[in-house]
Amino acid sequence: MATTNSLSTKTLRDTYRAAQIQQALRNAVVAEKICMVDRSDLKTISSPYITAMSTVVQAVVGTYTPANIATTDDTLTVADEFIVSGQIKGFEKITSNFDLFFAANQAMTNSVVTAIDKWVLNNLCEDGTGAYTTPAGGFTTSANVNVIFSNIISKTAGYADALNGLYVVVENTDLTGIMQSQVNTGFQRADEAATNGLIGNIMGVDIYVVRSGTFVDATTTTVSGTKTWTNAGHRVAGVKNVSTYAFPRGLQFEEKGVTGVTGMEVVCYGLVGFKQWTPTSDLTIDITLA
Amino acid sequence: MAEKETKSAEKLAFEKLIEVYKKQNPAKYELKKEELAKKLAGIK
Repeated sequence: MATTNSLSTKTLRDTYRAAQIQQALRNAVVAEKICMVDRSDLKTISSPYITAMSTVVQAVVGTYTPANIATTDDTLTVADEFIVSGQIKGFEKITSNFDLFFAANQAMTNSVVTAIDKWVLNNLCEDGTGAYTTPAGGFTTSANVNVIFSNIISKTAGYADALNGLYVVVENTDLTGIMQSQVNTGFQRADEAATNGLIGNIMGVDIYVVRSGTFVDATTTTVSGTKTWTNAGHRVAGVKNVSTYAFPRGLQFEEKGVTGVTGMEVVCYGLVGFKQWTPTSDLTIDITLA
Repeated sequence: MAEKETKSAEKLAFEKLIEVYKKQNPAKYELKKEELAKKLAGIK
């Protein structure tokens, strides 16, 4: 006759795959690759600019009309705060199999950095004055991809700043058309794409991929802070390093014992400001997906 | 008598967004006016 053994919960062997507790799935961050970053502890960064000078070519006569030179202030102001907090109780820290405190700090850092990245990208898309509307289907239609990339280049070519290098930021769902285009374009390059997957550059334009839901519509929400964006259905491209985001002193951590609860309360925060500098705002292209 | 149409919270929120956007970024609003109207019409 079959027997039915009963086992205590302590009987079965147990192991952990890693020495650390697993973190939530993380998003890639790209803003630092395409913007200048200032980590000094300044509230504002000023970058005044003057009117464009215009040269007159004329038959030799020796006379001229002096132009008015106007100087305009252009200022980045740090006005948004990114903050995340939690409480690790004493018993949680003491009796946990993992260093919960360390893991929580790491998760907080990642959360703030990801939020800043999304915020910077949306501001970049919003404040760029370059504009381009893709053919119907956007990046997801492979036949559009070369058309879109050549248009990005043509919008910025001829300016000296274009030598900084070009970028486009797309969402992961856009890759279907981009990758199909890569494996179908050229010979060596198509083989390369077919073998290795996404090639991070088309026609000299670096491709950065963020997760779906990065470009959004938002007004003074807990995602956008003081800003308002209308970026759903948009992507951003342009010349690198023509905008700045200020991140004074990077991330700050505070740990504090609070009354009535054992352990420590932890808060992680960062202050951020963004500026698309006016004279170069044409070099940031707000792409509308048709 | 026809029933008064009630707007969804999502529609009201987007209307508010457009109002704020119009003030914060008037130049860009002019460029995106039609697109935003289309988006608003698409929200039930």
